[in-house]
Amino acid sequence: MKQNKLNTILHHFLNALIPIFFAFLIGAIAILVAGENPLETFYILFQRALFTERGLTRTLHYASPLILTGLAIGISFKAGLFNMGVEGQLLVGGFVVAVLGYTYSDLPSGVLVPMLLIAGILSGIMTAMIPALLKALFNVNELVVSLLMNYAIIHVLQYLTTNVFRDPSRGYVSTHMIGSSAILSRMFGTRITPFFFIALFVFLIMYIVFNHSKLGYEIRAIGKNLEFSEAVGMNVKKKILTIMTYSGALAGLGGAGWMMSDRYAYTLNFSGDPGLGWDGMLIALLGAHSPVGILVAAVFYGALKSGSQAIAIHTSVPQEIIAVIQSLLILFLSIKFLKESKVLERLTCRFLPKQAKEEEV
Amino acid sequence: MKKVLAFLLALTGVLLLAACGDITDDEMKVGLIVSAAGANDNGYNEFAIEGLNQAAEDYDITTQVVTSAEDIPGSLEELADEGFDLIFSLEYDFDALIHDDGTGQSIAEKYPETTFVIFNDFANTDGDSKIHDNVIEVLFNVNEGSFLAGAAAVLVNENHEILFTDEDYSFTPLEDARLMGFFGGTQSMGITVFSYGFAQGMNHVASELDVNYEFYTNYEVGFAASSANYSSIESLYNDGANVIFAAAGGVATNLRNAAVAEGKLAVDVDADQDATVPGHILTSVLKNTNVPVYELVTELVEGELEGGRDLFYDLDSGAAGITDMSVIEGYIDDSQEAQDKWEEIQDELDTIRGLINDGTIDVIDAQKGEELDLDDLTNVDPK
Amino acid sequence: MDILRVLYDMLYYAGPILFCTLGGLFAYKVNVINIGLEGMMLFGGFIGALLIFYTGNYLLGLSGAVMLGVALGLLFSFFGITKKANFIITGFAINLLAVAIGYYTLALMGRTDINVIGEVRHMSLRLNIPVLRSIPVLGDVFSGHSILTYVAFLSIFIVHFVMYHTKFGVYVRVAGESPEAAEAVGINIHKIKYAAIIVGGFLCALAGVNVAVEQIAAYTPQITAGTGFIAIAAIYCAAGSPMKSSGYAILFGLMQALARNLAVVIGGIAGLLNVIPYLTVIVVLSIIAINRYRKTNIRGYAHD
Repeated sequence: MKQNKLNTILHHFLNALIPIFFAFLIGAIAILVAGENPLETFYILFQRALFTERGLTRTLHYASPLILTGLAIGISFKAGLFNMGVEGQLLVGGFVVAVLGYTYSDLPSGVLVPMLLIAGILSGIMTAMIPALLKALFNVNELVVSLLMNYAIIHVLQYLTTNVFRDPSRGYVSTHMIGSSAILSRMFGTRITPFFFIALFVFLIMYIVFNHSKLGYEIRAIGKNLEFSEAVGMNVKKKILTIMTYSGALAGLGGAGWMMSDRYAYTLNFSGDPGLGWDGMLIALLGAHSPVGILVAAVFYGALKSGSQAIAIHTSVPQEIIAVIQSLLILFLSIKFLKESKVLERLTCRFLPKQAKEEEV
Repeated sequence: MKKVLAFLLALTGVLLLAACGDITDDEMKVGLIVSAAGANDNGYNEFAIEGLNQAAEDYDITTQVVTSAEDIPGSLEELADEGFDLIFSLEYDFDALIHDDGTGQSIAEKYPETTFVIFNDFANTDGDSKIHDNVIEVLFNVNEGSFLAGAAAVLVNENHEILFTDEDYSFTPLEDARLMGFFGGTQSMGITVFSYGFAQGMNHVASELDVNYEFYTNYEVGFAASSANYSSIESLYNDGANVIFAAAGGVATNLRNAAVAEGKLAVDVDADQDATVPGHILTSVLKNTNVPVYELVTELVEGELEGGRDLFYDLDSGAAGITDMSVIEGYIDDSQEAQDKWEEIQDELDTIRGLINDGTIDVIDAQKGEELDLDDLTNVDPK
Repeated sequence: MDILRVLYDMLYYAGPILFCTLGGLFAYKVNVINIGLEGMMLFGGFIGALLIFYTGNYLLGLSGAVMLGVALGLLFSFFGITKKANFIITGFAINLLAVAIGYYTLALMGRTDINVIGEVRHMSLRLNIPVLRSIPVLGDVFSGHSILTYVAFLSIFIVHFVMYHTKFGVYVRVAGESPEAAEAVGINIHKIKYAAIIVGGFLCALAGVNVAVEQIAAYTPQITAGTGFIAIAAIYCAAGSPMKSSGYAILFGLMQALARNLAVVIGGIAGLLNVIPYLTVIVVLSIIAINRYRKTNIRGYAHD
């Protein structure tokens, strides 16, 4: 049994490591094209991101929202639900917190901070409910709906930020800065804020949910075999809503925390490019949808982000190299190098409805 | 599998051992953080980098250009921490630098030895005094350049039938073409400074000629060329506009290509873009960021750098204004009538330039927080 | 707002959506959802513009784009079919990679976009077809589009024909509907799937060239703006029927045309109008799914 478990971990580990290797290998070629030394570039990347105090704490700070978005995607993918709207849910969470954090800036920290975190969570949930309800009630494809909702959300928030909630005293499009009592401020003179510990705490909860709760079992069951789950009397519709609630809540909390610990105001590049929600997808994949894996992957990814800044500052390689490596990583992660994952295979087969019967000719 | 593992381990080892030389000498260190428009925007950022490169050639300094930094405060801090003496930040992101970066302290406070230079905003100004004495604000009087461009646009539009006869052009007849447009990347003072000035310039000439213009503005096009932006611009040309002005980074590409496609004219910004699509750029409103970058580095090297002030570049400075329009001049019809008209327009623009310089014409400067009073626009109707 | 111009713009915007839709539905028919349509389109526009930028040769750009499209189809198939990858993720990776490589290359080139106007005047790629032009009232709507826009509309009929009147089409449908039966009669399902996906890569590349070269004469990584995803929705709405899917693609083109033209009229809140196309897709998809759900009255999941 123990041997078995070790084997699984090793499998997971290598399944993550081989794609990383290939992604960096091709990334190295791209760096060579830029006329730089790839090894030196990678050295700067990781040395600065992990082996300096500033870099390491920044890495952990960046990892905080990523742990949450990674879990948000992980929990839905594990159940075979494609919540591609994590980015949008995160944006809504961040935006709502920006507005409330300014409006109620008179409240003391002890009241305001929990209130905002909850507001972020609720906003995320409500946003996730649209594709979730459509899916649960009418079997509308959640992937396409949640994916396209991101575009709609970005435009709506841009409109609201520019025209309704704008801080006119600023020279650029931004909401008002949240009150100082709403800020999760830095600790120990480093980049780390309480948000990191909130993310860790949520990670612990999710770890328990995943591995030691009935829901966790059900999620795995739905992901593995839906018909069977239904046959044994599981209310799949209700489970879809529950899972999407978790997913939306995690995304919303990620947005709230990022707002309160890093951005302090909603601007049009609040989540960055490609965005924390999209990053979450890579992290969930890299972490094989398991909480511990996601935690490790989030830190690794935080290091890439943190190190990309070092690349920008200390080398002449375009910082965009990081995005190239990241997308290559996702590409290679889509294959299981060592073990065919029956879960994933089924999950995508099921996702695709067989030809609709009413079709003509 | 073992082989793979061994190889990966070996690679990790190499990575960790690979040495990298850090900068340790005593040269002055100058950093420059590029804005979201990118290092190669043909203008604002690129000029600043050119200024820095020029300075690096002339003086013994170490320079570092940070491109596409997602985290501006982080980059500022990192450079300051590395002991950079002078850091230019071209992005509109001042909160952490001036006010609070989440520690209750601002970056400017934390690194008093470093001088920070910001652009396009009086972010370091509180009433009459400067907040930090190690921050310098750089502003360009692009409102005045835009005024000239607006005036030129109306003057040319009113006379386009005489001036342009080449078959490449297909201007809308004047009676349907008293319409101009402005596309801005975002709703910021750094952008409205262009459109306000342009509208005022249009109004100045339109009221002299006693004609009325419509002025369409869109401040939400972002800073990248896209299919949507292209067709917005094309639609406006189709609606009758003969001249469109854009201050929106990469959207300029859309504007230029649409101007060529529609056989009309564009007004560009930042650098001299007149020759990019010759014959279709009327003029460019200049913001020669290389000038302040070079000047400030020179001050640093000579030990005369002083913070806590603002640098203002006006029409006379050579860092702001519009181009000499020599490219478009080559496309004016050869007839005597057209040549005379062109000369007349140049004279008129010189007159206006004089009136701006001596203060007779006061151009609204959105960078100072001034708002355009629509009632002042007697002959221009903004939409 | 000029109705005729809205209609013209509808065809203009529908072109690339049509290419992606028609390209994606072959894969859909063999039960592979190609999320990577967007990325394949972007890669097509990228390589097309890049080649034209350096050589000035439109045909070279077009062939380069098509070749890359086919190569991406091959890559996607290799991963998704041979390597049994999770093809949703593979497709998504192709999308992200297309953007990342685009930005990286632009950074290396020192540009913000690849502007090909100096090499190919996009206006010269627009066709004035006398027959179309002479149509009363609507002549201006149908005439004056770029070459590939016409190709896109022609492709509707070609794809319909291929799907229902050729051996390949039969194989594709059989391979998707009853793989066991297909194998029993000796159809190589692997090959059919490969071919179905590669056709998609080919057509998406055309969509990219259509936008980047013919329409705006400049490539940036933002030219696609969700076109591939909108195409997927169109395919879903019509359950992969070429004619009906194309109908939805044109409808979504109309929405983009409306959003664009209304923006000029109303000015200020133009930004909000950008939501229209995406919302329409979501609403249409929902209505159709709800109807289908009511009709078939199946359980909560359409899996069987």
